[in-house]
Amino acid sequence: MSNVTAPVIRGRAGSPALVGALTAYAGVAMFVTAACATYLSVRNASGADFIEPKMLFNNYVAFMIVATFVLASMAAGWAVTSMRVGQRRWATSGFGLAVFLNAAGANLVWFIVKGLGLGASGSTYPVILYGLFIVVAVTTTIGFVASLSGLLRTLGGQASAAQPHYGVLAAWGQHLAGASWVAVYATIYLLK
Amino acid sequence: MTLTAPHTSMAIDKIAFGDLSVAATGETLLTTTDHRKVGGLLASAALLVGVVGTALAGLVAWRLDDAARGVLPQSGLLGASADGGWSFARLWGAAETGLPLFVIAPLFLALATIAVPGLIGSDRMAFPRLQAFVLWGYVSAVALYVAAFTVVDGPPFWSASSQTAPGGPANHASDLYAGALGVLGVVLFAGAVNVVATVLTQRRPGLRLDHVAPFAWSSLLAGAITVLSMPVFLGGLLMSSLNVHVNGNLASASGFDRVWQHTVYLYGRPDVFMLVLPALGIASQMVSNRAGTPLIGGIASKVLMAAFAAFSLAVWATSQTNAMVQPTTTLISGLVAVPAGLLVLVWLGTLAQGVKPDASLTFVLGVIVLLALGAVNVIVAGARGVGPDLAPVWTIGQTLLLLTAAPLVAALGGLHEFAPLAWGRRTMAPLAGLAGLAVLGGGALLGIGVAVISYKNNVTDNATAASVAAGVGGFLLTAAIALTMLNLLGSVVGRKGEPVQATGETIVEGYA
Repeated sequence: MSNVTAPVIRGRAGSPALVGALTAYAGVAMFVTAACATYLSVRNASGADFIEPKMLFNNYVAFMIVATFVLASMAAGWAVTSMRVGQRRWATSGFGLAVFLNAAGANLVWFIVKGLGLGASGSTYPVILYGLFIVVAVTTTIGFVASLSGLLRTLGGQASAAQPHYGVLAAWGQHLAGASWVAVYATIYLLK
Repeated sequence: MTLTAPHTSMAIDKIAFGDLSVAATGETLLTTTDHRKVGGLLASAALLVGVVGTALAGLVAWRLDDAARGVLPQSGLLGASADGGWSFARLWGAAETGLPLFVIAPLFLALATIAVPGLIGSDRMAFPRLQAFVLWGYVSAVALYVAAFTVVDGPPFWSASSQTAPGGPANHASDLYAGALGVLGVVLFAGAVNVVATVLTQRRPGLRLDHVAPFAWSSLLAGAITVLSMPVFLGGLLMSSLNVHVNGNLASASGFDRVWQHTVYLYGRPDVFMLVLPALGIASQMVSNRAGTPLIGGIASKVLMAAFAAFSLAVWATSQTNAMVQPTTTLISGLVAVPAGLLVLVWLGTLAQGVKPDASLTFVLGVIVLLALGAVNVIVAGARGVGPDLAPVWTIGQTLLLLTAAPLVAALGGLHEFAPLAWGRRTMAPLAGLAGLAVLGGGALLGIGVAVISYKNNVTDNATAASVAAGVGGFLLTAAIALTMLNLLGSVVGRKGEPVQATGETIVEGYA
């Protein structure tokens, strides 16, 4: 038996981890879309008084969350770009910043949820709104775990210029978290 | 330890087929990540649930005429128990939800786990440990589901055929029910991701995507649609459960009825339509193997399957205003029948070129007959009309026919067809043929029997005969599953089946 380990050439679609993660992310994107569609479908049938004034008061904080998540996505993208050109320290910094910004975004989301003051019953609005925030919590967790795994894999040398797919899938996880909040923000605050 | 790490079993050509021991790799059946063993265990679990589910369906269908007349007795096993015990509604709910979701879908996932790697020239799934998670997650979901129907703390909760969302307050039964569906949804989603990643990344060098075997192709499509549609179901389930828990009024809110019917309502989602697609793939595989040649028309069969998958998404585009018999059945969603019908013509054309007789043809016949009966049922219901308040009953009958019986025929046929690939032994042909005939007859009797009760004026005229026929049909399905289990046990464990050194290439001769 030869000791030489020949590279196994699989299908042409890339690494299993990357393809699997992107497939799963597509499903999570549908999860977010379904929640937003539920909000809009019920809103359209329920009339113009669906929006509670207190939510509009928090528009400033909500926009801050958008900025935070967009920055987190940019940081993750910067990390992947750095990793591809072999700049390990920059890649580490990028993923570290993404983790930090993600945590900050999650903290802001929690601040908004605590301040909603909608009560638990008697209206359609709280149910759908809390449902949307649970969806955001899921995607934020995905983004946080993805960026943290990107950071740890970069530190451990498993994500590098030679094998960038772990870093790429981590960045896509962060992009998913950012895009999810942007979609929810647009649904609640812009489309109303 | 990661989900992507390779499992410890040997390459496919090094494994002694039919040897179910795992001592060589140090794995036990509880810890194995070998795709054939995981798939075999998943199939066994789903078959066991199937025995119970079909028996329940038969038992309840037997009394469906009384239920339709509203004269159900108030006591006894099938009584309309006011305390939420083992009432008629509970048993019916357990069967109607359990058969497609807890039997058919896991069976196809098990078959994909067993066969797809071999069909694409690989010895593993993309994520072996993820598939083991799917297996044990499924077992957990079944446990929650059984618990939901045994907890007695309130009236019968919402079930699969509920066309409107449930209101509060919550009880333990509905929590367990939603939990079971949630866990199952996550498990099926994870399994679908794994199947998609396997087909896309684990093909042997040189095997193009448009040249993979029909079942691998249909598994890829079904997996993709499941990935897109299962999270939508989970989102709807989340909203509904939240609503029940906070005692909200979402169920009665304008606009939510449409959301419910397109997300949580079992018979209105693409992934439920998709239960037919793997059946089409298995039947295509069996036709091709028996004819000893690829299906006629070149890539046409794959295009037809892709069209079926695309049209299944049309249920999201439907609205209640143009609905026919059930709220999500419209002309747009009915388009799925076109590629399915054309695919049947492709099978017949391929078989006309010459065929090697085998028990598997019984299963192909079963798929064709049951799909045709489903089409006839739609036409008759449209022409004659459905009795007042009996549309849900018609829906259940049609669902039993198209989404339970037809896929079940194919799934049992798939176990027969892929046994050499999975366990290195053929199953015993006479038993397989008998199981095929039983599931064909049982599915037809159960589905048509239940649907006939719902036809206008039949509740007083022919319901009793139809109900008895449906009950017999349910028990025939139970017999077919039991026969298949006995066949597999005797052939593989008892080593009575003919040993075959099968690989993916020999199974898909002419495709590579």
